[in-house]
Amino acid sequence: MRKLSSTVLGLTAAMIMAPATALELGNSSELHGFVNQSYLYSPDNPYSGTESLDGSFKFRELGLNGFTEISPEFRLAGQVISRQRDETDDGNARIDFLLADYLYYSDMDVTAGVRLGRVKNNVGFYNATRDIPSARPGFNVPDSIYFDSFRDSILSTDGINLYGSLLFQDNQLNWELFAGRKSVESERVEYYLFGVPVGEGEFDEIALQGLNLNFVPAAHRGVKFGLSLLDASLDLDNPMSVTDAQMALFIAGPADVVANPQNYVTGTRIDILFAILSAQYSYDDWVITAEYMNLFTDLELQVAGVSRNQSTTTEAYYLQVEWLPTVSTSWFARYEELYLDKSNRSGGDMIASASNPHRGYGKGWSLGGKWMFYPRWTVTGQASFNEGSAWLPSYKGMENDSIDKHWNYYVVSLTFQF
Amino acid sequence: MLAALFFFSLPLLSAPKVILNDDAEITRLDSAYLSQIFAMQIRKWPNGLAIQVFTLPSDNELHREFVVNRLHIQAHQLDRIWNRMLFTGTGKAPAVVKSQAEMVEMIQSTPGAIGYTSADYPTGNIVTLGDKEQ
Repeated sequence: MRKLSSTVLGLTAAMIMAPATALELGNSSELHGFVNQSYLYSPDNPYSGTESLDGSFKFRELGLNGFTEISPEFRLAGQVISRQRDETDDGNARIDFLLADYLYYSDMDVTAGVRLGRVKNNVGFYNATRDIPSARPGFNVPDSIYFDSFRDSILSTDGINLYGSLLFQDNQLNWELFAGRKSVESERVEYYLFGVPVGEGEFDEIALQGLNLNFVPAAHRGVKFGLSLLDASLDLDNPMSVTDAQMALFIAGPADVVANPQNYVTGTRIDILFAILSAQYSYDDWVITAEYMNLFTDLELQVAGVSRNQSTTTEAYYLQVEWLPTVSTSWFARYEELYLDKSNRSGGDMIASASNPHRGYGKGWSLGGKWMFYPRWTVTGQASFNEGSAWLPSYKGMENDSIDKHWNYYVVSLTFQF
Repeated sequence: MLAALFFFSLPLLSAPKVILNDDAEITRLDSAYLSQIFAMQIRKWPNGLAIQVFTLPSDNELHREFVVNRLHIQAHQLDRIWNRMLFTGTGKAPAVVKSQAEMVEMIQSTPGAIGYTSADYPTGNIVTLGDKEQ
């Protein structure tokens, strides 16, 4: 992995040294990429690790992608990304997508095709491009809907993706259906569920299926509506046996199951349904975007052999206004809210902990801007002012740090893209 | 009456014109179809030939005028759609030409090509949108 990472770095450096106008490999192949280096200062709460408390440069993203068109119907595309975010992402290179795309029908009103391989999931307006600096309004995509807990789980699917479009009376409808599996980083799911890692067992793989619709009405082509549904399910593999859990509990004393239930987990199954409604309005130099998410989680948790079911609805929404006064500058302001448990807006017992009592919700303002000061080079700035820590990225050891209710972070990034 | 007709047709006359390569055999180009083509969402003509889209740079005034008046969207919307496709592996950006002269040359010489020029730019016997629009 480290070798792949340095190859990506070397290739990207070579691109910067020799900035050709376009890296076209023959008529039908191209190579593109980006490098993004950020400085993040989060004086109140550790953001992705404690280094950010004093300001940290450990926020870096590299990407390299290519495609080749074999015929108008058949194309191949792939992308490798390395992402470092202090403790939450290690910078190892990974395959972001790698797909074969076949357009099997296309006339003036209808197109339909299929993609096989690892395909990015269109969930809401931003999920598929959340790791692409140039496609984000600022440093981050909206924290409320695109919070970190599920980022890897729903980023892409290894499987099949059917897509197409319909044009009728000047209206445009684009659709996508996908199904498959994805390996997940167990720790992130464990932190989402318990706030700490579980004693034994791993979440290895998630099963995903989804639908995405985007509609642009004939009456106003500056308006776009989106609907995303994504069903995900995962099981805890190789958990502690019931006998072992009961034995451990016998030694620790029965009260410990209340204090540290994560140490006696003998089985977990989670079903999640994401539903996101999206709307965007572009007029002249302005882009207004709003999204609303309901995330239904059905958790079947077995602690020391005793099962219980818990259903939670997570709710999030944001409103974002972008202003693009010139071709090379943009500004944005965004307000957003996230409630991990909609029926308990300050956070339930399962969610909050002594060191992090405000983990159940988040509310915040973000302000920022981008300036392409030289072709391919962009500087981005963002300031975020938050209450509640629901979207504060979790990292190993976070349970030992005390987390404040009110916290701000400030970021400056430099991006090169070709 | 004549003056009124002239007045109303003036904005359309002065809007940039769409130009096509001879091999792009199409019967209709309504604005949704046209905007899907320039958004790189449609990859081939009805006759199976690959669509080759040419544009001027995104910051070019004529490009912006074309996008607003012909596609009825904003130039930054197109930029974002192309960027998104490139970095999700689902498509690509069009070929960029530096001038109208180069545009005309590329449209003439590239099978399946589509592009645009200003309304009054001489394009000789190249097929323009008006000729094929229903």
